[in-house]
Amino acid sequence: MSREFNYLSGTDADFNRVSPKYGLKETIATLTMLVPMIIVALVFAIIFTSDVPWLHAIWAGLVAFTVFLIVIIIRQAKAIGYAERADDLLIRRGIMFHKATVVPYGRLQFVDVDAGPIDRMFGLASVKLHTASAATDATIPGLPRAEADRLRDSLAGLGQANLAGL
Amino acid sequence: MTEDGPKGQAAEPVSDPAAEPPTEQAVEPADQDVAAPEVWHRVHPLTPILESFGVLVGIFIAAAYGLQNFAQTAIENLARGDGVDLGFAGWLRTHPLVILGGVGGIVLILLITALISWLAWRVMGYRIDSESIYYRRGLLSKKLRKARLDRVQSIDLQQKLLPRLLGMAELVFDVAGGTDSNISLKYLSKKRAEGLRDELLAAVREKKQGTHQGERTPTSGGSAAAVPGTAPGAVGSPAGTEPAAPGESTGAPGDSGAVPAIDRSVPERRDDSIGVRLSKRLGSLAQGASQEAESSINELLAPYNVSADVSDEGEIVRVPVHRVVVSSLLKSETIISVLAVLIVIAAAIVLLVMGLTEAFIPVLVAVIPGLFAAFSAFRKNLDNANFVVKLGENGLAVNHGLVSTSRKVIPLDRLQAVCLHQPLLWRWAGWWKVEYNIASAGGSGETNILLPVGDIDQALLMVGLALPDPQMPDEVSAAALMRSAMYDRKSEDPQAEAAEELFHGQPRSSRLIDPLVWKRRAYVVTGSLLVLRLGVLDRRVDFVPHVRVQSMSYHQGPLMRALRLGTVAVHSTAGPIDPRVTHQSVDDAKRFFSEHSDRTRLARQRYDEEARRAKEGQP
Repeated sequence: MSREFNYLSGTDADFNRVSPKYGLKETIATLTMLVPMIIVALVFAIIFTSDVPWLHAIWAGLVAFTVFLIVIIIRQAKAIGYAERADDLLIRRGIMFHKATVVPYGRLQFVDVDAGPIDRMFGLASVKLHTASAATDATIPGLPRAEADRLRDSLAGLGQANLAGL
Repeated sequence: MTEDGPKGQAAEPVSDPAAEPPTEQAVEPADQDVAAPEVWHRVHPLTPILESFGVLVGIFIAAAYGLQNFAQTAIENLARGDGVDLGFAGWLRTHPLVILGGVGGIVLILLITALISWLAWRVMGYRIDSESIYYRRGLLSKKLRKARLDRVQSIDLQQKLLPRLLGMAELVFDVAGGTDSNISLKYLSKKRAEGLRDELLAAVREKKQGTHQGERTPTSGGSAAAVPGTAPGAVGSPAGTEPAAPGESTGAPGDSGAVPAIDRSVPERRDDSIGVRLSKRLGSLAQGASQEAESSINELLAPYNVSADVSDEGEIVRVPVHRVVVSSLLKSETIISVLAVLIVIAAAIVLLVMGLTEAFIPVLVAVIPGLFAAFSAFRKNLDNANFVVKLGENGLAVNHGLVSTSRKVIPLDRLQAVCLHQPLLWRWAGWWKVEYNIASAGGSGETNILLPVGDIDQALLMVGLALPDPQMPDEVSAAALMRSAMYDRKSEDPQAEAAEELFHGQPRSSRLIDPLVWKRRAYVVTGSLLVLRLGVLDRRVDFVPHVRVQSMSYHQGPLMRALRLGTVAVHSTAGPIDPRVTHQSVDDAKRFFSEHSDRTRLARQRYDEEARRAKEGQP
């Protein structure tokens, strides 16, 4: 996996990964969407199996798609990393589409900690960093709740230190 | 229908209850100091009529539409050779009571409208005390809106077409807050509006200077406290504030940048934009100081090799009407809509020639909306006619508009990025347009214009004022860099070759993704700026000062990975400029990403350090 973590040269930071439960959570969120569809397709295929046998292709296709999606989701979850560096926070994600975002502490406007219902089931939360730019899309999903709070406080502290040093 | 006057305004943000911020109260606010008598000033008596004018226009259009239908039927009948059906008119002639009733009804409606307008006018008014400005209105649902003077961001004088014909104006108070938090005081006679505006601007400035000293200490604590808050509300308007910028404008987190005034307690800094340095240098520009202003501009803008011509009134740029007209005709959108109309007309003529007369008239009628669309696009551009820029003590004061005029102040110390833009057909005239991004809530791309159209000298003047000194290496002048950025290899500057050396172009492999632009797109990093050269047909140059960069991100998709390319986006505030260093080779992109994040951080640190030292130096 460390190979994928190498899309930035000149970074001395050790990247933290998000909670391993995050992949599971995302998988479940996806399954809640896809499983009912598969069941419906399966039921239809069984009912009409004598007339239109190719209906089986639909649910089979959906199952294949789901498996493919889950593989991607789990791989993506493992690829998310963040590093608290001396002066900025570095976040990176993506396997097919690499993306790395750097947010200087001095530019932080505020920090959000969000936890949706499924997040809470797994004790997870996501941390979102806001700057004055709407383009800053710096979200770290799937952190354990305690780590999310620690990160928020630490970012707040760093932001404070940085502002005090102005 | 006409009595809709007061109610119809519900569509405006001022009286829309849903959009009301918490400053809205019952009409008699209990928390006023009882001692001071409340003096409510009335607005101009014609206000209700002007406000319900939209309804009148609606009626007029409906009537015109009916007439048009009638005329069209008549024309079609004539075309077919039948006589015009005048049955209805004939019937009317035999029943005079109906005509009387109709006229009487119209008179009655007019009377009722006048009465309601008068009643509505009686409750409209504004009041100003030492703390706030209040504006009240509404006959049935009463509204009172209050804005604290120290939260007022700017006061604009607006004149729409009809009020302008009657010599009236409205004052728009931009309040630091959500998008609907403006107060628009309307209508006042123009003279009174101008007087009130000057008076209030002075009051606002004084207010801010007063709170400025007092709030200095809580400032850093206040904005720092906002950072840990998980509630966005803690910061006030997030998009409008810059927590790391107490050196700029006032520094209080809620109204950072709320004053158009430039903070003169901080002396000139190298990374201040030249316009800000100029205004710090000159102090408030007195009327006769145009000579001094001119020499200061010329001195500060010397690297760009442009010279300003400051008139006695302090005007530095004036865009004549004819240039705006010609330039808007040369925009691609205008040409496309004109072509579309021409094609439809040609089709109609072909139909006529083929003898399909029935189809001819409907096709011609179909042209009308097209013409309207073209005209409205054209009119929007005319809004920038008579664009006059003056150097004011608060930044650049801009007046513009042909049929309706408006004034605004562009606070130069809050500009985040600037771009030069040249649509394809402007090339033969050598015109450029200058736009900007600003740290402010509710900024839309339509209005972020520093110069609607101008020759290269005017464009460079405006860009130069809006940007910090580029801090070029010794062997290349800023003028050469700008010309290389604008005209790429066609630059005729003597130093063009040396300037071109500074540009980092895209690698050859990117030609698969950017077949047209890969040769032109390039970036330069100077001591204080990131300059991006973009666009091969519509030429474009983006400028982002290092001290204004928010955050950055690096992207690479599968195709880019196959070609070993990467893109770095530099995040600025919302606006027409979205700076990106596109499709560099992976190593270059990564190096740029990490180097530029260090570079911008250091620039920022230096900038704030200078402000801090200045403040400690003079308590």
